[in-house]
Amino acid sequence: MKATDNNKQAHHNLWAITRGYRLRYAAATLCSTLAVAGVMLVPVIVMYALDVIEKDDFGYAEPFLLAIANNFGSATPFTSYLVVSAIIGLIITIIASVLQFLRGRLSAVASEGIARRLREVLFDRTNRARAKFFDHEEVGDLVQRCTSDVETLRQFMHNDVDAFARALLLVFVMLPILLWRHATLTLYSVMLLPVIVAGGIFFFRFVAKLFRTADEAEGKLTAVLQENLSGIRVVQAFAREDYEYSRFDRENQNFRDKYIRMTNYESWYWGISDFVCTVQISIVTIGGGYLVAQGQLSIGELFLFITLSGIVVWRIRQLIDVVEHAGKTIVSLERVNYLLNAEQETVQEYPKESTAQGRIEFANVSLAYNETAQHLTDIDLTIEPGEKIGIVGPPGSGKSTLIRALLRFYPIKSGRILLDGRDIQSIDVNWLRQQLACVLQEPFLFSRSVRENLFLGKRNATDHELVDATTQSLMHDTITEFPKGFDTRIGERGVNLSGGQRQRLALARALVSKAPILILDDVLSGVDTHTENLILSNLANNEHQPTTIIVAHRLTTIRNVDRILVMEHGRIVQLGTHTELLAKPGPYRELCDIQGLLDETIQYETELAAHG
Amino acid sequence: MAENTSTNPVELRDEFQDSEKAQMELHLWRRLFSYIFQYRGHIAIIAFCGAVTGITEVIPGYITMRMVKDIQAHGPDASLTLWAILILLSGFVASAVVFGFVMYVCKVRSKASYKIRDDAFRNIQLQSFRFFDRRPVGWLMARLMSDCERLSNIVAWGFLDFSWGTAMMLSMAVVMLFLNWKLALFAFAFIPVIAWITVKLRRSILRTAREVRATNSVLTGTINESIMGVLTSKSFVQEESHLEDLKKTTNKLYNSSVENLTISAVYVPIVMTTASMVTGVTLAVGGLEVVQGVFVLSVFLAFMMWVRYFLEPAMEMAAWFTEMQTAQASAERVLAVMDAQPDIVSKVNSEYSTPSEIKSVQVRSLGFAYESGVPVLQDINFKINAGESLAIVGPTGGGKTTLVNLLCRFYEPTTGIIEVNGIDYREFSLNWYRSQLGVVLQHAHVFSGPILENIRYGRIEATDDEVIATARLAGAHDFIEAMEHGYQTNAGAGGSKLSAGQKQLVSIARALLSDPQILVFDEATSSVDTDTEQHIQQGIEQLLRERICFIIAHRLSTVRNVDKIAFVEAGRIVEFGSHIELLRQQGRYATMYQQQSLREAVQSSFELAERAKN
Repeated sequence: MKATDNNKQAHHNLWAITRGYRLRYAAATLCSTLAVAGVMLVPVIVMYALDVIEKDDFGYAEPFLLAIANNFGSATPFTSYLVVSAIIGLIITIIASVLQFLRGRLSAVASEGIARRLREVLFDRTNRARAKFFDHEEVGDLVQRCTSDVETLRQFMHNDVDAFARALLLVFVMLPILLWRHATLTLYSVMLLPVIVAGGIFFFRFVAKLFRTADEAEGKLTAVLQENLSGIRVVQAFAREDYEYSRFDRENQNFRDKYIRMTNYESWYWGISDFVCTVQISIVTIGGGYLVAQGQLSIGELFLFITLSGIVVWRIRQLIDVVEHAGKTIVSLERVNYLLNAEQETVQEYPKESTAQGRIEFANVSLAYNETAQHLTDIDLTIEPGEKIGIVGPPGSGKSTLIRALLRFYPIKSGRILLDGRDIQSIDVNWLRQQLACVLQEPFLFSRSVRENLFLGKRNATDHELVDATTQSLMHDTITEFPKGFDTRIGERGVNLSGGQRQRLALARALVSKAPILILDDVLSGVDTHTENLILSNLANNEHQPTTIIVAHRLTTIRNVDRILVMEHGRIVQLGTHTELLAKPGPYRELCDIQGLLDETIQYETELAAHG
Repeated sequence: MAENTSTNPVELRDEFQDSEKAQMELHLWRRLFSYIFQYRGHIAIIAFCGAVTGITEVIPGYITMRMVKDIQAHGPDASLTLWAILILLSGFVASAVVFGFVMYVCKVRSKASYKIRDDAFRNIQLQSFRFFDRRPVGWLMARLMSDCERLSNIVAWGFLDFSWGTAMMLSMAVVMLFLNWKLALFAFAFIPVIAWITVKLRRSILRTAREVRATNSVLTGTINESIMGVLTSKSFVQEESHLEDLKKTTNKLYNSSVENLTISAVYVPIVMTTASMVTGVTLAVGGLEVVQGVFVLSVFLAFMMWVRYFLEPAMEMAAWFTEMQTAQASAERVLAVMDAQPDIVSKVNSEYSTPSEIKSVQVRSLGFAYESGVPVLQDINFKINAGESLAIVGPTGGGKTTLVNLLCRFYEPTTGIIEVNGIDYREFSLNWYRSQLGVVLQHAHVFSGPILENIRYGRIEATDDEVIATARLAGAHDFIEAMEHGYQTNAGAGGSKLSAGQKQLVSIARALLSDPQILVFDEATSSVDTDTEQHIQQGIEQLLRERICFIIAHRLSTVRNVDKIAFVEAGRIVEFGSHIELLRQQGRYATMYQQQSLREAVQSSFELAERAKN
């Protein structure tokens, strides 16, 4: 029930997207109808000319043409009549051509306009979809929905949307012309058209499954290739080239075979439909010939019948392409709809204060990504403005999840999270996130310039601010060594950054924003201890002292925090100052023991080394 | 990737630089056509079917002509049976050959594309890291998927159109010239005209199409990035500005697409008009001749039927010609991928047999530089024996990862050699050497698919129990068990469902499972807590006893138990020795080591703070 409602909603959306372009489509269809009528008029003129020639008598001529020809007053009346016919035919064709062009232009503007709007809407809907939405989606698939599916729709809108209408119009323009000349032969001229249409639809139904299997085979091949190429370093490190080749070859062969299977059936369709079409034209030719012999039909009329039915028959056969495209379009439509319906982040009350104080409170918070497991359980935690909290714990203990919950990436199952005493569920999510300067685990940098990446933290930050932030994260010197400094492009076609450099740039990006809350999720793991030391003291000495949450694996990283939080299996197992936690037996003391042992060893060894 | 490539940004040639070279580079096309010509039987059938199709295009007009002639001669008594049979027969033959060529062109097309892709894929697997440093995954994907399809379509359908077009033009020419050479020549005069128009317009169509494609790829890139970085965008509230950015691209795409479609919309009307000129000329000239009695009405009728479509082959062939011209850049790129010479080649007939165990790895005056020529490593010397471990430490960007990549033979030394059991490692089979390695790369890459299979990648034939045992050893078992489907949980594309630390643990398990003689950990535990790390260290202690191990780490607790330590800075080993030896030296290592002390760290930050105040 709910699904159907959604569908309705989405169709409404798609329909709304076509607003402003519908009239253009109507105009395009009108143009193409008139063009078709023009194209069919030319054989009529030829018919008259043939009749005049055959009978050697102007009584068979088209009066209008004859009138013009008479005014010509050239050498022979035949010459002027034929020349006038040719010229009028040419003029009609030119008019039809212009109409044809207009049709193309109008439908280009309409289809491209709709496609542009659709791309923008899809992009925006995707970006504003809830973070949870992306858990079950592959990036490649989402991108495809925004790109190639839109492309399928665009092509259909440009080429095919009025194809059925045009084919029908073709028949409806032809019928009166032919009926006017000979009713019975007209009947014979269209007798196989239904067979062609029905055969085409039947065939399409039959092969639709094969189309899909071929598409799927291509999808699988693409996936295998993508996997192989993006993991090529691992492939080579394990000398798995042969294994990879066999996987690839299986899909490559499968794609080839599925494709050939599909085209084998297609060739039957084209062969058989070709035969039906030629039979139809033969019927017209022989039937017409018989009537000519009986004196019921002129040679000009025979020409008219053969030509017009030829045009119509082949066009009707081409409709199978449209049917095929329509099939693909329906699939794309569903895929696009799915994105349009992605659950959006809600826009809520926007607090009056421009910045928060930075008081964070977790009250009995639980969170589960799925039904089978609980990822945060009974989190109770209050962080005062300006306080610094360190979080430690083994991989998968819920450190990053805690941060995601605060960012409202994932809905919590129970409990409340408060910012400055206000439930974050009730405040505008964008405002909330603006209060949080985040460096996520494995930070994402855009393949733009260094400057543009930093602008994410604060749009149009001054150079001074950029230098300040990058200096704090010890990235400034590295940036100035780049070929174009702050304008150096990052990523596939620019400078490749090492893990440590990426982390430091992401840190600078967060620092630029000067938000009241700073969140660092495993940020300094790729940085050597010396550099880490310097960065941490830079942060400590800064005038701006945000509320800070640091997730770390080295105790040296969290040495300056006010309180330490130890997590295991989604629970807070310990919370307190370094001294407090050290006093109690527990995981933190174990960590400290390792470190303490190390400390002692370091001291011992250093002294030993110094004296010995 | 990582630190080593940061020194050599290489500009890639733009993927959409379809060049319009005046000259056809025939050798490229000869290579590509050879992919379809190897299926001789298929090609013969296609040529035959194409030619017969071309010839049968003439027949309906011809039969109509003869039938009308009969009718004119015999009036109502004319027998049409023969003509009916003939016209149906020719229709049958025409359909049969259409069936034949659709089937075989598609077959050949698919087989050629399979083979091109196969050759390219195989060659890609042989390439070294250098090759991949310069070629993004997306770029290679485009070569292997869309370019392959496009080129195989061009050669297969192009060949068909060539045989069909030639046959049709020839048979039309023969019949028409024979029946009325003057009128035929009038009509033929339009062939070059239509061919010229086609080439000209197709070129502008393809030029604008190229723009559309280029903009489209920018669009795809933008969308791809925005989805990949969606959490980052959300955390910085960038939804609005992303949309603004996208609108620039969609507007550009709109403009170039509309231009492209408008030019395309010009083509059909121009062809229509030209064809109607041919009809007009034939009508006026031919009609007059009939009236004058020098031309027969029935033949004139056939001419009127033929001139409707006799320009088609010229149009089709001109279209293929321009398509080939513009696809030349694709052809070049695909062939370049197929022909790329791997710069690391496995030695085939080595005089040395592969040793059953690796006793030592020795590096002698090793130097290395990327393309830019700037040396990344210089004068590296050390020897590690079985049972020993070497830790490589030092500041970021110093060349640690490059050194490890050289040891793995992902790159080969520019100067100096690396010896395994005293023999240059280039003397051994690459496959054998790599099979002895268990590597955890700096960016732990995890494939999509079940975690179980990901670990099994280390040794394909390992049983489930072996995999699980190794996962325990690597400290990965607990978190995997806690996941939704345990070991069967899908890791997501690129391991997206796992955290950084989890990916590292899976990668470690994968490396351990391969039971390697040489273990290589490049910052393998940087995102893992100290406790888990200690657990792993204890776990693999046993395993390391008879093996060689290379470790890069920032956490010196990882390093201190290792036999030998190399402190690498600015491409050189500045200190080398055991932990104690290096501490005695009181050099760079000792300083770095002391900074790891919590007490020391607290003290140093006090000092820094004091200094900042003053």
